[in-house]
This record gives sequence, C-alpha cells and structure tokens, in this order.
Amino acid sequence: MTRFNLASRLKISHLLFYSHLLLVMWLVFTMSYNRYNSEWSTRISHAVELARAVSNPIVDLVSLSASGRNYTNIRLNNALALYASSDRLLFFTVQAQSDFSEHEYSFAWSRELGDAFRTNLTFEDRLAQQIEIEALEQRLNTAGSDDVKLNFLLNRGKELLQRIEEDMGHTKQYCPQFKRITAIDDYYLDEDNAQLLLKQDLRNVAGGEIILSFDATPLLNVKSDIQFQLLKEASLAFLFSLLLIIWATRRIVKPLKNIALQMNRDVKDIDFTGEPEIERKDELGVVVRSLDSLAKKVQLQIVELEKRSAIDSLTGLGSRFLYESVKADFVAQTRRQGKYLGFLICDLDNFKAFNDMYGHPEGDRVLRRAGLTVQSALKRDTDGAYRLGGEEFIVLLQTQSAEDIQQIAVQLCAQLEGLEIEHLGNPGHLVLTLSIGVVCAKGVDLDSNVSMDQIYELADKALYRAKDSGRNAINVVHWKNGKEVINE
Amino acid sequence: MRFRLPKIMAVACISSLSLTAFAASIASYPADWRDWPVVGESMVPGRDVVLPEETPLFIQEAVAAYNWINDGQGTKLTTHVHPDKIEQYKTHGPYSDGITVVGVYEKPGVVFVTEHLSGKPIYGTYDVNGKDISSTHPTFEPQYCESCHNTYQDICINGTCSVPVIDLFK
Repeated sequence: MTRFNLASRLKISHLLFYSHLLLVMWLVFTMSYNRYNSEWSTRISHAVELARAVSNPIVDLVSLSASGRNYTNIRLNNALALYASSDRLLFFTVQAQSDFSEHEYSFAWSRELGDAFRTNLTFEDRLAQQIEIEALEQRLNTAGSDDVKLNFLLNRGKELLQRIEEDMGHTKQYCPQFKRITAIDDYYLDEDNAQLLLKQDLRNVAGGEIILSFDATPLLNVKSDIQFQLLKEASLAFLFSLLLIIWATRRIVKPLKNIALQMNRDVKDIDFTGEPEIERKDELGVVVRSLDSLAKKVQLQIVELEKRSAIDSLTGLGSRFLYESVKADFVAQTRRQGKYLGFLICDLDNFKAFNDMYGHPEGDRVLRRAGLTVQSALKRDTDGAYRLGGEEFIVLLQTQSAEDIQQIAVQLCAQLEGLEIEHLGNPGHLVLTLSIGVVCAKGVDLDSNVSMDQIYELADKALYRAKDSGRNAINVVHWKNGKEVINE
Repeated sequence: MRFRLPKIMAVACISSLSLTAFAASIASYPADWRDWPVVGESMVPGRDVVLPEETPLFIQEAVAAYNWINDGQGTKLTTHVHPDKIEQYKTHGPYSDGITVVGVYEKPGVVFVTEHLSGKPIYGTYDVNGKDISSTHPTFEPQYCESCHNTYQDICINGTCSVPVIDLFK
C-alpha cells in the first residue's frame, strides 16, 4: 500500500521553512487576533461606559417625567440642552409605564430635529383636542366675564393642538429610523449605520426603558486604526520572522548541502579544509569536524592500503597486484611512444636449495638484497620492477633500442653475481646467480591484439632456456612482425 | 372663529411676558375660603428634611420646589374645598365652572387657588389678604403651577392632586 507521506517528500530546507512559516503565521495571527479582540472590547466598553455616563442625567429626568406622565418637563429648554449636551447622542426613544395609571408613556428626541416629541399620539387625541377648542370658542362667542380666562384656556388648547399635530408629524418622519432599534440586552453596536445603541432601565416604580443611539463613527474609526496598527505590526513581525526563518534555514541546510556534496565525492577527494562550517561552534560544526577527521583517517588508511597492495613488503619492489594493474597500459604506452619494450623475467638460480641450506630468514635477506639490486638497475621513470612471488622478478623497460635492454639484463646478472653471496647449492658458481628470460619488442610491432600475457609466455620460455644453458645466463627473444626470434 | 392669527400672537406675547416679569394669577381669589371645609392638613417639609427613598418622584419634585418656604423651615399646608364641589373633589372631577380648591401655606400665608372653567384648571397665587403674589416667586406663577399639576397627568387628575400624602407630611 502506498502511503502519501508529505513530510518524507519534503526536503529538510522545505520542512524547516514551511513548518516555521506555519508556526509564525499561526502565532502572529492568534496574537494579533487576541490583541485585536482585547483592544476592541476595551474600546467598546469604554464607549459604552461613556454613553452610560452621558445618559444617566437623561434617565433621571425621564424617569421623573414617566412617573407622573409628564410631557412638559422633557421639553423644557434645560431638558433639550441636556439631551444636546453630548455631541454623540443622535436620538433616543422612551417607552415606559406611568406609576399611577395604566397609561403608556412614550416619546423620542432627535438631534436632527432638536426637539422631543410624543410618539403615542393618535388621530383620536387630535380630534378630542379639536372638539375641546371648538367648545371653548363657542363659549367665548357667547361673551361674559370669563373672557380672559377663556382666552387663556383657548390659547393653551390651540398650542396643545399644534403640539399634537407637530408630534404626529415628527413621529411619522422620524419613527421609521427608530424601528431599526430592535430588542437589545444592554448595548448593541450597529456598525452598518455607525451607531452605538444603549438601553437603560428607567427608575420610576412602574418601570420602562430608554434606548439611546450614539454616533459610533469615532469608535469605528478607532477600530480601523486598531486594525491598521495591528496589521502593520503583524506584517512587520511576519516579515522579520520570515527573514529569520530564511536565515536559520540557510544556516542549517547550506552546511548540510555542503556536507552532502563532499560526501558524494570520492573518499580521496573529500576535503573540508576552508569550508566555513568547520569553524562553527554549534552542533553542525562538531559534525563537520568529525566528518573531516573521519575522512582524513579513511584517506590515510586508503593510502596505506594502496601502498601495501602495490609494493612487495619483502623486497620493496612493485607487487604482483601492481604489475597486473600496469601491464596493459605499459604495452599501449610503449606502442604510442614508438619505443622498445623490454620484458625481463629474472629468477634466482637454485634458490630452493639456498633456503634449504641457509634457512628461510637468510633466504628473505637475500631476496631483499636481490630486490635492491634489481631496483638499482632501473634508470628511467617508465621502468618498473615487480616481484611476482618466490624468487621470480619481472622488469619492464622502455628503451630507445633493443641493445639497451640486453645491456640492462647483462648488468643485472653481473651485479647480482658481484654481490658474491655464498650459495654452495649452486653448482658451478657457488655464489648466488640470476637467470633472465628477455623479450624485446619494437613498439610498432605491438599491435592492439598483443597482450602482456603473450609476452610473458615468451619470456618464461626464454628463462627456461637460460636455465637449461647452465644458469647465470640470459636468453633473449625478439618480437618482430608477430614472430619470435631467439637470441642467446 | 373669533380670534385671528395676529390676536393669537398678541395673546401669546402677553402670556410670554407674564411668564417673565409680569406673571399674574389666572384664577380668581375667593375671599370666603376660610369658611370652606378643610379636606386635608399636611406639612411642607423644610429643606433639611431627607425624604424616604420610596417617596414618589412627583412629590420629591414638589417638595424640592417649595422647601424654601418660610426660610426653609417648612410650614403647615391646609386644603379647603369649595362647599359646592366636595363631591366633585372626591372623584377628582369632572369639575364645574368656578373656584374648586385652595391650598394654604400657614407661614408666610400663601393661598394657592385652583379654578375650573370648561372642565380645565387654571391657577393663581395670593396672600391671605387677596393680593396677587404670583410674580413674587417663580414657583408662584400660574404657569409653574400648571406645569406641575397639568403635566403630571396621572397624579393631578383634572388639575387636583390624587397622590396620597405620605406619613411624613401628616
């Protein structure tokens, strides 16, 4: 079953970046949101408390008036001045019950109108007032001693009628906006209409309520300010965090990438020297330094291993492993350079008998001296000497002529004999001697089909012939046009 | 229609003037009020008296309006009702034409008169000798009386108060 594992698909850099980004976004968002809520609710509470403080004297006045259903108090100049004293109070509406009857008491005030007006007047009220005026006028027309008093009452009645009609008109004009005021518990912020509605209970016995509407524009401006300020702060915090995340991610991931690049190289090429991470004091610095130390140890071990596998430990000559690795290139190189290839198989004569007679430790010492002798015969960088095993050595030469090869072979035999190492088991010589099978080949005669193994076989046969001829001898074979030419 | 607009305006102006410097009683002074039946006696408390919290708001306002009387020491209030209107007073109207009730502050001797005309109350303030003193104090002006009596419509029915006197005033 294939499982979609996002975390395993992401790079460390992406994982670090996105996880921290999400964390920062979440933190910034929640902190900003909580701060906004706290700030905003504080501002609203403050505005409500302010509105309540403003409305308290109005509540006192209205409660007193509602108690005895007094519509005069609420229209006196000082009352209107009280309503208008708060710039933010737009209007209010009162709904109450008289303390002394079942009558309803209701009126409203509007800043736009600049006056208060009853909101519960009906056409029946107007009609009753009209009838009353007509009755007074009728009585006045009959003339009498009460003219002054009747005129007083008539004027008052007319004023009252005019007031009723005005109030009914105002109710019709302004009440639709009051209808927007629905039932509220304590306060309600109507953001659509930029109004803060506050409900206060009246203090008369029968009770009632006043709902005041305040201009919430300043409050909503504050809200916008808070939002803008928080947005600004959140953006700055987010930007700073983003830069911090990018910096931290790069600081962690870049060294890891460098480590990965180094570790992808060949072990020999791993090198942390000069990398800035190696100087770091943190955990990554420790890791890089550890890896550098490990790489250096491994490199040293590889060098040592290579050295050990390429060099014959007894004689210091090249090992069989080294011979195997260079032989093909040696043929090709000789062919390219057009030189002569010299292939010498050298074998110490009767060396088994030497070991039997003088012991293996002495045999090893003699082998070491023989190796040094062979090594001393090599003059060019391209020359190589190898110990294939036991007392058998191979010498590879690149020379300008076939004679040079033969001279070296002769020189080798002479030098070893010249050491005068006693070897009583070597009949006819009584000192340690060397037999050599030599193959000389011109580079141009070595086509691509010729292998070193073929040459080895020829040299080996030549060695046997040298041995058969009485040892301490050289047998030379010339490779020409794909044929061998034996030359003692 | 007997009054045209200019006349109404003139009356309104006179009324307005009377509200300020030339306030005059509308109701007439009844010279025989001392012979009328007393329907109630109570006190106007002095300005140092603290009213109980449960005192009706209207009474609180009325007390606040008149506790300056008698140099703030309070006074006795006696209510006389016209003999012909005793029954009407019991039901708080409707009232026939004529003076209905007087309220007398014993000290310094103030007679508040309530008269009815076409069922509507009108007010006046006199001293015990019948001199119109409505212009001597804002709370004696007939309009002030009206603003209290006439506008507290559920307390002063037809212009006479129906709120029971609290124990403090008895």
